[in-house]
Amino acid sequence: MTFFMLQVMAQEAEETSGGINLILPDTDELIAGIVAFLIVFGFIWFKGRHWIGRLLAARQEAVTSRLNEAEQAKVEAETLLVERRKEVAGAQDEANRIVEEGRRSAEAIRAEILAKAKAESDETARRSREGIEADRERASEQVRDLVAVLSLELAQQVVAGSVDADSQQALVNRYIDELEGMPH
Amino acid sequence: MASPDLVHGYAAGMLEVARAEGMIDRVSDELYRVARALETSTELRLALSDPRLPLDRKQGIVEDLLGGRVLPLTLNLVSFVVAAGRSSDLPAIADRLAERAAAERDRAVAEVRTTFELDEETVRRLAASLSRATGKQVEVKTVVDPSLLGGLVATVGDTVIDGSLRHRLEGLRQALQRR
Repeated sequence: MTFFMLQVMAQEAEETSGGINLILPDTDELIAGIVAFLIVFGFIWFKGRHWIGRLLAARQEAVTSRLNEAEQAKVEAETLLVERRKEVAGAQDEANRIVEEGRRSAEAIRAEILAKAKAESDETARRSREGIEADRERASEQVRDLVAVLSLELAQQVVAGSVDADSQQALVNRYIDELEGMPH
Repeated sequence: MASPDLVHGYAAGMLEVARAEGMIDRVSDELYRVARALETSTELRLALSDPRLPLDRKQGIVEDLLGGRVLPLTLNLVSFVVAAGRSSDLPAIADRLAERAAAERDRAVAEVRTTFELDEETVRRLAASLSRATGKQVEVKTVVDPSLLGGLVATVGDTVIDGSLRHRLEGLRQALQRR
């Protein structure tokens, strides 16, 4: 390969400067150079082969490790994503549950308030009916009392004017007769 | 209102005076009637118990009311009670005196209120009937009370037998009020 490069360079120099001989060494020099090059190359190959292999292996291992890490990170990220999605879904469910619970609570409170209002309304109506009934009963009693008092006064006047002495004596005699008829 | 001991003391003293004069029954009866008249006449009761009215005026009222209608002994006993400032206690004293006088004969006092004066025969029948009805021998004291309208009311101790028209009319009134 190096030799080929030298030929290419010589050709280029030939073309630009007017002759390959201006740059090409002598054949001996060239052979010595090639041999020197091969020796150096062989030395380097012998000595640096393992080091380069280790370097490449380390490099490969590092790359592999990074790839693994990247893969792991990707897996973790995907796992995290799944978890986050689950969490989001859970949060959504929780939110739905809370909303549903709130709706049920609101419904229960509404029903309770309605029931309480109805009970109070019924109680007020009942008391009103009782009050009206009591007022009616009172008024009725007052009328009865008034009728009774007026009747009694009228009766007293009639009796006072109609019971003569004979009737008075007859009343006393009847009283005595009733006394005599009482059990001892 | 005087204490029971004071009433008892006056009644006992007046009974002894009547006993000494041998007129327990009549004095007791007259005092009972005077006491009932005093109970029913608010004006007379207020006049005899008025501390501003001089004693001679009170005595004059008593003499005007009772003079010639009751025994002089009865008149003097009433005047004595009025002079002692116990006119308001005269009904209780007369009641106690009547009870003691009746008790001495093993009898109880039966107060009989009617709208008119009962004759002796009626009083006798009444006494016999009340004795049978109450199981006690009674001595009838009659009181005229026009407010009864008719019939009579007999009271023997705590027992009241009301056969008056007023009571029946009151029952009628209560019956009307209950309907």
